[in-house]
Amino acid sequence: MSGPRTGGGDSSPVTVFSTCTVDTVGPDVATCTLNLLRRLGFDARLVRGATCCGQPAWNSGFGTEARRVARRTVKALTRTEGPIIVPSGSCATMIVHHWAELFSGDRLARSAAAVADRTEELSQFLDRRGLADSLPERTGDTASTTVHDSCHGLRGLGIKGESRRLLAAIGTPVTECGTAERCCGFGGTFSVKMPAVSAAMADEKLDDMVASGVSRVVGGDLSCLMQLEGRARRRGLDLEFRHLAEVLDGADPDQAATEGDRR
Amino acid sequence: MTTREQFLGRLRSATGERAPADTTGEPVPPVRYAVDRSGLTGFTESWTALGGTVETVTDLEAAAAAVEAWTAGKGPLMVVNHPDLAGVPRDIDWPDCDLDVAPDAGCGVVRADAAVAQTGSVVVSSTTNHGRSVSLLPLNCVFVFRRDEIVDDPGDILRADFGPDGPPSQLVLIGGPSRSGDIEMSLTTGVHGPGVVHAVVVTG
Amino acid sequence: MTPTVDSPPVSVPVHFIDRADRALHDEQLRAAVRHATDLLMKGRQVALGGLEDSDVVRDEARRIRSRVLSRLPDILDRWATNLEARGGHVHWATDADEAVEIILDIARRRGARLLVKGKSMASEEIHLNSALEARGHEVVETDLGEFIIQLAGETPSHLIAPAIHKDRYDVEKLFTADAGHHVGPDITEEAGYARRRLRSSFLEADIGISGVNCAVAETGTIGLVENEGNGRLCTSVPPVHIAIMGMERIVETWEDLDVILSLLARSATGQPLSVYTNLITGPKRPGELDGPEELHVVVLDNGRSAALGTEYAEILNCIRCGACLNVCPVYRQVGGHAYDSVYGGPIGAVLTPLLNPASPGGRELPEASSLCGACAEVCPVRIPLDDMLLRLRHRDARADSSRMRRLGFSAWSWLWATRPGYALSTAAARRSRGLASRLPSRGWLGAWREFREIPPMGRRDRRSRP
Ligand code: SF4
Repeated sequence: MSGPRTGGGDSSPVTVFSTCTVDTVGPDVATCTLNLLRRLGFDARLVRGATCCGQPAWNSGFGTEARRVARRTVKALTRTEGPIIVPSGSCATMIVHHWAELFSGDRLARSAAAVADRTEELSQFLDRRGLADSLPERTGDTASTTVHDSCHGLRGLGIKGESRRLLAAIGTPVTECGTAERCCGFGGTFSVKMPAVSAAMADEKLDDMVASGVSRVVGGDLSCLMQLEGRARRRGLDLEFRHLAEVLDGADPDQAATEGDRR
Repeated sequence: MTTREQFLGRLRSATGERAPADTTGEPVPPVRYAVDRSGLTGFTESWTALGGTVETVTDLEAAAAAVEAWTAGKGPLMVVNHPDLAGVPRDIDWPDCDLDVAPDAGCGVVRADAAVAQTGSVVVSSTTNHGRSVSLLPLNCVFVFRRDEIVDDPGDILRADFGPDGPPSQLVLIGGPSRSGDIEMSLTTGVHGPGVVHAVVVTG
Repeated sequence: MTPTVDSPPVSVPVHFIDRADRALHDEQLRAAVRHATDLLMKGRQVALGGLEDSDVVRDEARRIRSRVLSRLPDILDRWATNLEARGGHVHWATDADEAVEIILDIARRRGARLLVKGKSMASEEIHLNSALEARGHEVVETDLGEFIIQLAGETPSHLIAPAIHKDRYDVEKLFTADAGHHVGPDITEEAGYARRRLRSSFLEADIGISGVNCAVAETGTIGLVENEGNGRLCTSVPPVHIAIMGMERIVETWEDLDVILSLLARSATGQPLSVYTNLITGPKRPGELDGPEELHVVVLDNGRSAALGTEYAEILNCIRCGACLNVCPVYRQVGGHAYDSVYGGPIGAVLTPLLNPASPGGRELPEASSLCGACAEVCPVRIPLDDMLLRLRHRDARADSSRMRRLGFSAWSWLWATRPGYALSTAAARRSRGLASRLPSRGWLGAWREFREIPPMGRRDRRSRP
């Protein structure tokens, strides 16, 4: 690992909204996001008191419930400073594109709009500010890597080249899989309401990844990675799944592996 | 039974305000294609890519000879009674024949009104050809037209002014041989319409 | 021929999830669907590349369709007047029953024995074949794919490739039984059999039935696109042609038609145009030896007008290209029959609940999506299909969801509306991950674990580091 370069941030404040998925199943993604941003020179802070963007209920058709939860998050984010960085394309899409409808007519509509205006997905934030060049290059990392484009990041926010440029900057070449843009089958409650179809969707991507000879799958959404990894483990496939923030931060996968009960 | 007034009345109450029926709003710009295709070269490229064949001749006399040569051995020949096809020998003279004999034809010869370079289509009208069967029933079909009848894009046909009589009872753009991919997505030709199609273009 | 429509009925499960399950165990079906949809999507990509800027054309197409929809009654009115002036007959059918009645009436009046049909989704929608057969008329499907599934006693499984779930060996069995001698499994031989077999039907038929892809108001024209020529035969050879047209399948001018046609075949099959673009304006005219003496168009509402003027109106812009099916990752896994609706895939998941709100599919199909948005991305007229699926979920959630689910979301929302509730529950979830992967479980956790492990994502707790 070459020495960390710093730059870009100028100690300006940024806020990280960790999302409920990260808090529930992968808090290290929040840690890595914070570390990364701090190393890039930002005064990065985790928002306190935010919970969830409301998407699980919203996508199931429960608007009132979604709003009830998201209001807590709006209030918390309103009190923060600087750009709001979300390590999830899905939650960022919810905030940027669906909050307007979710909060239409609500007392918090204007606050929600202001929060949405400040919100950016992680790779989008880094790429837009040209921070790729400030990332530490890691020459020893040779894992053959592919990227899964999460649907909401890809189609909701138009994120595609961002992750590739960032990975290229740290010296990680990306092997493209033909199914990179196809849905992993998670889809929130879809994954448990139609589990067999959901798993079949994951299988097709996993088969493609195995056939492409990659050993590591990087994505910007923990929920997709959870779906793919959960299925890969069930099938006993030798694939490693990492959030982009973990890879960019250089979190040591071996250390993680010792903590996880890898089979 | 529902009348037109009742049917449209229900729609009107759903769509709201009644707008004047004869305004078409903003003009619709022409469709632009990635590659300009025009003239004989463009048509030949597109038509052959679809599986058709092309032959050029200098005048109608040569066209008749070309048709005769191409259709030889392809079964009874059914030819549209059109002045430009007068020189083509025939077994069945359409429409001066009994409709019942049409299915027996092995080969049809029609006068195409035009052709489209961009899409490799020939344009066949039921007015020019006194009906439809000649370019439809036989397994083989020849389309005869003049080089200057080749237009660039489908829009040149579709956006043309049909005059006071309006379009013919059937105007058809035909792009190559009849095809189907319904079994295993594997391409087969001639499943219903002509499976072998030939264009004779008169350049003179 | 006696189509084997009354072969022993295979029971169709009531729920999507069970039909999907059955499809997931049918490897041949899945391989066929993957193969077909991959080819169609690849073709689409190449064909759209034939346009200078397909996005510009798609925007234009959306504008055209929306303009038509906003003035639909007047445009239909004008079209009908023009077609009638050309000698065509226009019939107005409020629902499926009325459409069937109109067609039965014509068949009765003409003393029709045999009817030939080109591919028409609207005719599937009104279950025309069974109604005609019940009255003693014989109906023969003439599109090769439709003919195959008619022999099999099935329904189409794809908008434009109705028999993608059948392979050459299935066809061999069906054709051999139909012919009384061996046919196939060579595809060319099978297609040749279909040509000969169906040609005699065309020549004997009393009535030809077709759908309509796109009518043009300014001249009273109906447009029908197809590749085989069976559509052209159905509309040219029999003495009567009846076209069934969904009331929204119309544009105002030939300029509009030019734009729609430039996208339709490209999006559907990857062709610049279909082999046959049939533009029909009235029955045969003096001086024409063939062509139908009578042309009837049955304009079908059948629930469509309920969507007009609502947030779902744009679904009526659909030009039935099938691209959303081809790209849909759910359709890809389960095929068309899992939807158990005339229209499958994303368009079916939106349209079925609108046309048929009370049907089981009306309630279930919006759930048959991961909301990945691939459908909206490829739709040539840019219908926001995923947004509509979401809206339908909102429409039905409260009425349809189980008590457990409603209570669950409610409890969840109160818990996560507070900081301590959130902190406690996420911490509990993190801690119990090991437990969750061992305990026997039902409900959502059980559904997850049926196919997946609970991955050890929480590699480090964030509180353990700065
Ligand atoms: S909804 Fe769009 S993509 Fe789907 S069939 Fe209709 S036009 Fe095609």
